[in-house]
Amino acid sequence: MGVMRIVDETGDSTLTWSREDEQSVVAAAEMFTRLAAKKHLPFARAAGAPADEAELVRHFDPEAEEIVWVRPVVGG
Amino acid sequence: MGEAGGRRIVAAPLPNVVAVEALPDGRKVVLFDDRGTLKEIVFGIAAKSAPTMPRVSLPDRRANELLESLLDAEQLESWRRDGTFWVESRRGPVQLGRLYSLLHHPVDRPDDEVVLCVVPEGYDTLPRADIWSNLVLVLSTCPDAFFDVANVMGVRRRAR
Repeated sequence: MGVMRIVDETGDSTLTWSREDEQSVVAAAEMFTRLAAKKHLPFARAAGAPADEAELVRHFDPEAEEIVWVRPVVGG
Repeated sequence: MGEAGGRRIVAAPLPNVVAVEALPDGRKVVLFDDRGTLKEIVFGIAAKSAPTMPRVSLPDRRANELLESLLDAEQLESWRRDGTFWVESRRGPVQLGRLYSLLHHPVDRPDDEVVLCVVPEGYDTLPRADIWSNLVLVLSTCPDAFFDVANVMGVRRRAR
C-alpha cells in the first residue's frame, strides 16, 4: 500500500494505492501526471523518514511507500 | 497613547516594518529595517504555561503531523520548543519557522547572518506548518532550487 500526501489548504489530501488493485495504481499514476504538469514537486520517502532522506522523483513508482507533493518555491 | 499603572504610554509606529510573526508563547516578533540593517524586537510577555489546550483546526493539525514526521529528533525538539528549527544544507544551515525571515549562515561567510525570504507558491492558502514542510523538503534535497529564488532581506553580523 502506498500513499500520496498532497500539501494543500486542508493540511494535506491523501490518495492511496495498492499494487494488488490495478485501478488504484492507475488513479495514482494519473494524479502524479496531473500534479507534475502543475510543476508541483514529488518527494518519495520511506514512511515516516525525515526530510533529508526523501528523494525528488520524476516518475510514479507503485513500489513507493509515500510520496509527498509540495509546491514550487519562490522568493518572497 | 494611553494610561497604564499611572504611566503615560505613547505608541509610535515602528518605521519600515518588514514582518510581524506570532511566537508560540504569545509574544510577537517585529522585523524592521533600521537604515539598511534588519533588526528584531520581541513584544509581549511569554506565557509560562498554556492554561488550556489551544484550539487547533483540523488542517493545522494535519499539517503539523506531516511536518513533525519530516523532522529529525533535534529539529522536532526545537520546533516544539520555539516554533523554529535549523536545516543543514551544503551552502550552510537555514533556520525555518519565521515567515519572511529565514536565517542563513553561509559556509563561505562565517561572520555573516543572512536573512532570506522564500515561500511556496500560493503559500497564503496553506496551513503554516505546510509551508515549513514544503521548504524543509526542497532545502534538504535540492538546495539550489531554494537558494536560486531566495530574496535577501538583509545581512548582519552573526551573533557568537
